[in-house]
Amino acid sequence: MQNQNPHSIELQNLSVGFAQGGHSISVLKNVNLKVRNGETIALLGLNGSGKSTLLRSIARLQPVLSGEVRLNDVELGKWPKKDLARHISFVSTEIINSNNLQVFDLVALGRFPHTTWTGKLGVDDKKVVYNALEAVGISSLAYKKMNELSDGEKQRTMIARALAQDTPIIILDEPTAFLDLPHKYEIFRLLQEQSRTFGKSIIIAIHDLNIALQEADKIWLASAGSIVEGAPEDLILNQSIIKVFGQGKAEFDFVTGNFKMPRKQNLTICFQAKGIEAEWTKKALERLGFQIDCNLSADLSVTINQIEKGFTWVLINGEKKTTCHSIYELSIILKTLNQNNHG
Amino acid sequence: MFEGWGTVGVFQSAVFSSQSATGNSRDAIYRVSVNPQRQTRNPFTPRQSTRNPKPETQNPKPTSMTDQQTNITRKSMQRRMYFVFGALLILLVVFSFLDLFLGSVKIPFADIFQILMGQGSQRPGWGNIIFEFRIPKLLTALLAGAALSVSGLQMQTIFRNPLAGPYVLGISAGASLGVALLVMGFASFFSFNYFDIGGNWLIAIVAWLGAGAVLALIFVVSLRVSDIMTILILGILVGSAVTAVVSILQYFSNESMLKTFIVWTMGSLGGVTQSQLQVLVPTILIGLIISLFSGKTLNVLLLGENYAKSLGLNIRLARLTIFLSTSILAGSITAFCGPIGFIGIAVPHLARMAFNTANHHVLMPASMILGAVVMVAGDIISQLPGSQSSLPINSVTALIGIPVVIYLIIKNQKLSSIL
Repeated sequence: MQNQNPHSIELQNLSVGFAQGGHSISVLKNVNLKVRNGETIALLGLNGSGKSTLLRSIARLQPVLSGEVRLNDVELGKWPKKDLARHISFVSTEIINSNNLQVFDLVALGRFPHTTWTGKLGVDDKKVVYNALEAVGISSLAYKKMNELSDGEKQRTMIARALAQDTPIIILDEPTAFLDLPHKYEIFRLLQEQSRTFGKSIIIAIHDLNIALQEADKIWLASAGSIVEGAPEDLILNQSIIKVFGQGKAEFDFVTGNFKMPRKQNLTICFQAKGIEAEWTKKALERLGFQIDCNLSADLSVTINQIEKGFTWVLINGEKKTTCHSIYELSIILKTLNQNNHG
Repeated sequence: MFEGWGTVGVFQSAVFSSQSATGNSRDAIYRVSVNPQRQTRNPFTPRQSTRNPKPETQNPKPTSMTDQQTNITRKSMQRRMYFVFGALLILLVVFSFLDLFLGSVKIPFADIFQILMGQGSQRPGWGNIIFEFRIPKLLTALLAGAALSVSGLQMQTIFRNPLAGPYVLGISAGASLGVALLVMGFASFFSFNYFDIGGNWLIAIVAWLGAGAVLALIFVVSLRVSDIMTILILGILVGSAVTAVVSILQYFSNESMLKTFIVWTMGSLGGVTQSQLQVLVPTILIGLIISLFSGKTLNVLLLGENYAKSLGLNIRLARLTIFLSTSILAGSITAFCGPIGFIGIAVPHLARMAFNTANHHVLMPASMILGAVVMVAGDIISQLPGSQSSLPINSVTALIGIPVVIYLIIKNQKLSSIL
């Protein structure tokens, strides 16, 4: 395995934003950050916090307002366009729809900065394209047209194109926006593998807090007009995450790293069980507004019994005993109890 | 023309010979990072020819598509491409001969061959008809078809708008305005002979400027509005405005200027003179050559501005080059043949359908040949009613092109994905 040459990106006193009617409006100021070899960095922030603007500025797709982006200690503006394209690749949410464009041809466009004016692919170019298709798991789709693919496959094609560009730095602006959760994880893992194996640096803006906190090496958090950086765990512990994302009604669970909507809990229920069924039953009970508590004042209790084909849930309400065959069945009874209690 | 074509099917051949590329990468299946320079410098790495089209029987690549399937796919794709190119070239030759054959004077095929071979014919006048009239007309038709189709293809890609074309977006109207301003506006200050070589160059140049101005205008608006239909309506409005300006110019110009302009507007494929051809041939060839060099640029522009930039494309230079060749191609043809509609919009789509690709290294020559075929066919149709009169070429091309456009609109709910 061949590692990428050492490379670095440094953001120095960077201020990014956009020009509007002759005025420049900065969305992020005083950004001082450094990217090391082989790091997967997740860029987090609320909508409109300037994530895209920052990424576009680092990829030189738009000018910076002040400060510098330095790639290998040379200011970005001094890089010839083609050389820069051999160092930084970019993936956005933009998906290419075409009845005629083949997956292979699209991914091969990643070789643009490496080929001559004819665009003719050499042996190595083709190898890189095939490996990129393989890495994102779409080599069987190589001869399909873009419009024959699902959204997830299209997005993977766009990522394969960036891999085919074979740059030490990959910048991705919400590449998983249209994907379902398993695919989001899959894409993140795939990028991580690229970064761990080849020492590529990956900067990815992502909406899914859980994935970012679980998977990223480092978080860049857009907060109060600038960027705070740190390991995910650091940012949880020093309350940075909660400062940014905790403004709504959702509560941050410091143990699981998840946000939860607080619920009114007005009935107590006794529930003691272990195993995966117990965990999910617990979740259901919480969702229905029950506080799990096994002291004497508990009105209700639930137990799980294993039977031949699965499980039953037994609800004891005073003298009354009800057996349910699914959590849904249980939840219907509990719901009516809850409503009666309110009424 | 087709024989020495270095870049045709670059994409395809790239796909086809890729098998051999994987031969020595058994241990590097997931290796996306390859430093090509370091690889080629390594004397122990066996050098493999890119041009080797032979599929290797052993393929260690664990793709889910079997080698056989891959071979079949790539072979059938390649075969199809060469077949279609071959068929188009045969069609082009047949139609060209047919076009030489048709006309107000009946000349037998045998004599046409003899005349072309330089052997003379039964009647001396026939040679003159062929060389003075029919060959220039055929040449004009070939050039016009290729030029308009290529300018349409370039506009569709650069605007990422499948309904773009020199006629519908008012580029041809812009060229007309340029000529109108020259003939009826500036003629008050200077006097020119519009029908000699200098005058022809002048007409060509003002047509380019007019075409370029409208192109720039549409482009500036397209930066703010990206909706396909909005741009189209804008093009129609610009076209109407330009036509209105031309009418006003006609109203204020004197009789001799008006006469000059009317003569110009009646331009047709057959009306192109020898001295006009001396301007038309080199300018169109230059425009076509520029556009042939733009294949790689146009391919990457399919991904849109952001991706193109991130791949290192100098987007300003790319736009300038493509606008330049589009203005030269559409402007020159409009300057000498008058506005010819719906070739530029329809032929690129026919090429996409025929070749089933979005690769401009294929689409560019394909549009040229297909455009020439369609234009010559249009010229043949325009002569069908009888030997004495012919239909206006603009009407014929409209009747050929419009059904294609209607078909595309009806078939594709999502227009943006046609390209």
